[in-house]
Amino acid sequence: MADTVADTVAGATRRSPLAHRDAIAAADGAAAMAERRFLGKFVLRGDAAKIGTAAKAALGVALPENGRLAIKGKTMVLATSPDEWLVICDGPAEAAINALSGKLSKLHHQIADVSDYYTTIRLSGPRARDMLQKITTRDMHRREFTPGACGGILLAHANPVIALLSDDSGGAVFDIHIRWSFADYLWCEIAHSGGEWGLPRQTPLHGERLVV
Amino acid sequence: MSANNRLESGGIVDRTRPVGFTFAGKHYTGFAGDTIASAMLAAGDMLVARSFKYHRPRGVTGLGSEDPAALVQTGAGDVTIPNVLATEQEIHDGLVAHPQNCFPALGFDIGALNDVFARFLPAGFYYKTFMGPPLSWMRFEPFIRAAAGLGKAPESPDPDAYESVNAHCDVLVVGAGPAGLSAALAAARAGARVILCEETATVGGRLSAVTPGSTSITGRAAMDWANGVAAELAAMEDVRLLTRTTAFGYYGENLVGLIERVADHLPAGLREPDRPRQRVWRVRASQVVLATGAIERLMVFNGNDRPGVMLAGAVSGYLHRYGVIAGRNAVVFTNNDSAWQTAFDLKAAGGHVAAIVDTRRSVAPGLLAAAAEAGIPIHAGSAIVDTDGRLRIKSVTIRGFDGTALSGPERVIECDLLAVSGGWNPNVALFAQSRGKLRWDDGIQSFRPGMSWQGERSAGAADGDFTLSGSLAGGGRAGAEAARAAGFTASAPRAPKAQSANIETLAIEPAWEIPSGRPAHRHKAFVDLQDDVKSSDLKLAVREGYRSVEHAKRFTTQGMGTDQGKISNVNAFGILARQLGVAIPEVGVTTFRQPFKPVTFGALGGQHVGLNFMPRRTTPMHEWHRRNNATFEPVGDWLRARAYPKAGESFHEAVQRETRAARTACGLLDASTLGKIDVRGRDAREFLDRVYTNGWKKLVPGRCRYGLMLGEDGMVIDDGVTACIADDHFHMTTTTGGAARVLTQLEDYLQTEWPDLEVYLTSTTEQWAVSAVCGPNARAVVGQVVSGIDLDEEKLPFMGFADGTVDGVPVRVFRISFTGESSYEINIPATYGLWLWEKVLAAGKAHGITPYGTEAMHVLRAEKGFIIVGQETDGTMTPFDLSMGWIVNMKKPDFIGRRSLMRADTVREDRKQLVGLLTEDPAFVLMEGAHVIETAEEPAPPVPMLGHVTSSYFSPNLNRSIAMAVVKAGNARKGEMLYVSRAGAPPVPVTVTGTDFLAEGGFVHG
Repeated sequence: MADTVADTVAGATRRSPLAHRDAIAAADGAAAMAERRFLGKFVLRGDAAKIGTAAKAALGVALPENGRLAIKGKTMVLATSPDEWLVICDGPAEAAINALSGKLSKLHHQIADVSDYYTTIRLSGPRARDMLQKITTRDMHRREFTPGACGGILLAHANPVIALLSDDSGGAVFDIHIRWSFADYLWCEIAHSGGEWGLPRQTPLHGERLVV
Repeated sequence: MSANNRLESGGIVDRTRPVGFTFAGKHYTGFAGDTIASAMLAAGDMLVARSFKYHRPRGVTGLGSEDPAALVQTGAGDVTIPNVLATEQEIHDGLVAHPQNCFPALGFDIGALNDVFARFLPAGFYYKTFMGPPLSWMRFEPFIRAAAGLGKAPESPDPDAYESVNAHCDVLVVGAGPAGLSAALAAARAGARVILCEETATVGGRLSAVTPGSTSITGRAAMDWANGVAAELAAMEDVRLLTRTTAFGYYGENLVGLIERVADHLPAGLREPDRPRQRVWRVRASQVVLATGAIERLMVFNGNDRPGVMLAGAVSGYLHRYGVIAGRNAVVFTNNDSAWQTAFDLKAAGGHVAAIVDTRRSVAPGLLAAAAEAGIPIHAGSAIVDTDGRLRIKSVTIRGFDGTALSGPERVIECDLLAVSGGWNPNVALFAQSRGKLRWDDGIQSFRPGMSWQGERSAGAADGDFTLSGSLAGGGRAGAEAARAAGFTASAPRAPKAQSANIETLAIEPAWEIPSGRPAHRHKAFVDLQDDVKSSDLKLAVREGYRSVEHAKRFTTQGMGTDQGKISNVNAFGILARQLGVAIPEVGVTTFRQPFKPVTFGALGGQHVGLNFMPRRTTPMHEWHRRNNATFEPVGDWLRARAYPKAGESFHEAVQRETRAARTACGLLDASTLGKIDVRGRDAREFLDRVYTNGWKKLVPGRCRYGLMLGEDGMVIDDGVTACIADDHFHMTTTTGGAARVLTQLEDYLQTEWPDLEVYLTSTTEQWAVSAVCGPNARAVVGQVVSGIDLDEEKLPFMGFADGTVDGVPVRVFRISFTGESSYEINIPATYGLWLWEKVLAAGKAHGITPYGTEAMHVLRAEKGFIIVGQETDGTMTPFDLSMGWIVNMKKPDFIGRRSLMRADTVREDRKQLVGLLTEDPAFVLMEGAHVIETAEEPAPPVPMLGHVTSSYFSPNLNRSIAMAVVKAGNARKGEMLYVSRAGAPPVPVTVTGTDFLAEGGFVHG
C-alpha cells in the first residue's frame, strides 16, 4: 500500500483520504477503482436565472440543469440541487474560484471551497452500474441514469455526489465525490459490491482501541 | 424400513450424478436435483420431524414451500441452519441434516408424552397462561420453551456471507410456471425490463409435475417449451431470471422482497468465495405479475396427520419431477376431480391404488370409467373416518358419507400412502400483502384475487384458472398489460396452442370436516400440522367467544409458525364458518403478513455487517493518533482520540497528565470534527440574529462570538462559535454530533420560513483540519509555526481570528477556547492536516506540548464550567436553566424559541437548574447520572428526586473531584448541602456551588 502521499506544496506534505488505498481492478476488466487525488472542488449556490450569465462567462460553460453535468476543458460542473452546483477542477480550484467571485461580486451567491472536503473515486467498467445498484435505491439502469447525469445519492450508509461521465463499449465511467471521513468506508463497500465480478476485497481500516 | 421407490426413468433429476447425504445419522444417495424429501421418499423413508406441541410424528406432506412440517436442521456447529424444509432443500455431497424437536431420537421421542397428556394442553393454553394469574407464564415458560419449538439457533456468529441488494424493473413476474413464463415473455418482448423469479431450481412450475407427453405447447413437449422460453428470456439484455428465489414480501409502492438461495444447493467446496450464501433483493417494480400458482389443501379427518398422508398433487409431483413413487399401495381421498389424476398417475407408474375415496356422491362419468378401466376400486359418497400406523400409515377406515353424516359399516383398507386433496387455493399471499382485496369463489371453493390496490395483476392458477391453456393466455395477457402500464407498447400475444391430457376440472364439493363417529377425545382431526391445531380446538375457540377469525387464530395458533398455514388456513375458515353458522366470506381471512416464508436475518442484514456495519469517520490526523497509542471514543459516527496513554500509564493517569499539561504548559487537540457551515449573503446577520439567542448585528469582521441555538420550544439544541469573515460572510461551527442536523434545520428555515432572506448555507466541516493549541505556552508554539499573523494579544485577542500561512499553505487561526485557557485553533485544508499536526508537535516540544484527547477536553471544560450540549442538556434545558441568561437577548424582535422562554413553565423558579457539586471528600468522584436527593439517608421509595449528576471528573488542576448537576431550584440552593444517592451505600454529601470551578477554587496559573 502506498502509505504516504502524493503532493507537496512549498515543502508541505499533503495526504489524500485514500492515500492508503492502491487502485484495484477485476482481472477480466469488469470494473476498476482508483482515487483521483487532489482535484480542486467548490460549491456554488445561487439563482440560475440571476447568476447564469456571469457564471457562464467565468466558467466557460452554462450552468447545467438540476441532475446534469457540463464539462468545459478541465472544469466539470455538476448540478446537485436547484440552486447548487459542485464544480470540479482538474487541478487547484483557486483560479476558477477567483474568476467566478469576480464576476458574481454584485449578485447574491455563495462559493465555498470544498477541495479538501471531498475526494473522488473513479469507478469504471461494464459492471460499474451493477455495483452501485446493489447499494443504492436509485435506479442505475442505462435508460434511467444516462451519461451526463449526476446528483447526491445514498450508497450504503454514505451520501456522495456521483457523476456518470460516459458509458460506451468499455462500460460506464463514474466519478464519486465522497466526504473525507466516509471515503474508506465507501471504497470498501463498492469493492465488496464488485466481489462477485472479481474485484479484490478491501477491508475497512479497523483495530482502534476503544475505552468504554 | 428401506425400499427402492425410485422409478426406472423419469423426472428432471440428473441420474448420471449420484449425490450422498445423511439425515438422522442415516446415509442416503439421491441424484443431483433431488430434495431431501424426494431422496428420502425414494429410499422409502417418510418420517422427517416431530410436531411443535404434541411431538407427533410428521412426514413429507407437500412438494415445496407449502409443506407444513417437514422441517429439519442442516449443518453442524456454527454452520447450522434451523427450520429448513426437507421439501425445498436440494441435496448436495456432504449435506448433513438432523431432525428437530425430538429427543432422544426421531423414532422414539420422549416429548411425545405431550401427546398422551394432550387433554391437559388444550388450545388456548399459551393464551391463558399469558393472560392468567400473575407469574403463571413465568412458571410455565421454561418447560414450554424446552418442550416446544422448532430448530436450535446456532450459538456463535454466522460464518456465512450474505448480500442485500436493490434492483429496479418495469415488470416483476413472480413464478416461472406456464403463466409466469408467458407473462415474462410478453413483457420482455415489448422491451420492458423484466425480473422473473422462480422459487424452485427449474422453470416450468406444474409442467414438471405431470406425465411427460401429457401436455404439449405449440406442438412441443410442455417442458421443452418452458426451457425454450427461459432460454430466450435469459438471452435478453434487460431480463433477469432468478431461480431458487422466493418473493417473500410485497410492500408499499410496489416494493417486493426476494430471497435468493445462491449457494444452499452447493457443497462447501463448490461455493464461490465471492458470492453470498443467500441474497435479498429489494425490487422496486413499476408493475408486478403474480403467477404464484395454487396450493393444495389437506382434508380434515380423524387421523389425518400420520406420516404417509400426503397432498395428492405432491404425490404426482414426486412421481414426475423426481421419478419417485411415494408409496406402492395408495389410497386417494378427495372432494374434487384433481386427485383422480394422482390415482391414474400412480397406477401408470406401476403402483397399486387400493381405493379412490371421494366424498362426492356423483363423480363425472369419464373419471369413473377411467378408474374402472385402470382397475381402481371407487368409493364415492364415502369418507375416511380413521387411520392406523404409528410412524407410517398402514390402513384407512372408511364409511359412507353424505356431506354431513356418516352411514353404513366401517371398512378397513390397507395402504402405505394416502394421497389427499381438499381442493386448491390460488396462492394469494403476495396479492393480499399488497393490500389487494380477496373474493370468495364458490366454483373453486376458495379465495381468489379480487380488487387490486397496487400496480399488480395475477395470472394462471394464482388467479384461479387451473387450466394450461388458460394459464398461458392469462399470463401473456397479464405480461402485456403490465408492460403497457409501465409505458411500453404491447398487445396481448396470441396464446400458444396447448393441449393437456390431464384432468383440469375441479367440480369440488366442500367437506370442511369429516366426522368420525368416535368420542370427542379420540377424534384427532388436524387442521394445522405444524402447530398441532385440531378442528376441536377451533370449535373450542368459538365456544370460548373468540368469534373473530383473528382472535381464533391467536387462541389456537392456527396458521402461525414458519408455514403460516399455507395448506390449512382455508380449512380453518371453513370450520369456523360452520361453527358460527355463517358463510366463509363472512368469516373472512386472517391478515396475510410478510414474509411468505422465513427469511434468514443474515440475508436481511446482507453485507453491511462486521467492519462494514457503519462508516467509521476519522479525521486527517487519525493515522497519528493510532501510531501514538490513542484509545478512541465513538462520537456519533466519528472515532475521536480519547486519550494517549504512555507505556505503563493507565487511561485515568493519561487523562490526568493531559489535563494538567493543557492548563499548565501546552496542550494540542484534534478538533477537526466540529461541524462547520459557511453562511453567505446580504441577510446573513439577520439570519444569525434569528437562529441564535444573542445579538449578531455588531460583530465586526475578524471577530467571533459564541451562540446558543434553541428549538421552537425554547430548549437548547446546539451551541458553537461563529466568526464574521465579512459583513455578508460568516463561518459557523456546531457540535460534532449536531452538524448534519443543524444544517438541515437551518436550510429548512431558509427555504420554508424565511425565503425572503438572502442567505446560502454550505457545509464545510471536512474542508478543514483543526489543530487546537491551548495553555500558557500556546502562543509561543503557534508563533513558531504560523507566519503572517501578529499574535500580539492586542492584535489577535480572545475571540478574534486572522488568516496566515504555514510554509506557504493558507491557514486561519481562531482565538476560541473550550478550556478557559489561552487557545489558538489552527484551521488548515484537510489534506495538510496531518502534516500541520506533526509540525505543531515538533515546534511545541520545547514548550512541553502534550496531545490531549476528548476525555481531557471534557475535564478541562468542566473545570471552567462549560456545558456540553447533550450532556448538561437533554432537550429540557433553557438557557436560563443553564445560568446562561447573559447570552439571551430578549429585546430582539424574535429568535427561534424566544416566545417559549416566556411561558409559565419556562419561567418557573423551581425548574431544574445547572449547578456545581463539590463532595465533602475531595477524592470521591460522583457517578454521572446519579440522583441528587435532599436527605442524608435515602428514604423508602418513591424517593423524591431533585435532579441528577450530568458531568463528574477528578480535576488534576484543582486536585479534587468536581461535578455538575441539574437540580430543582438549584440556583437558590447554592451553598446548601445535598446528597447524591448510591447503590448499596449511604448517600454522599455534596455542597451546591457555581459551575466555574476554576474561579470557585481560586485556581491561578502556576
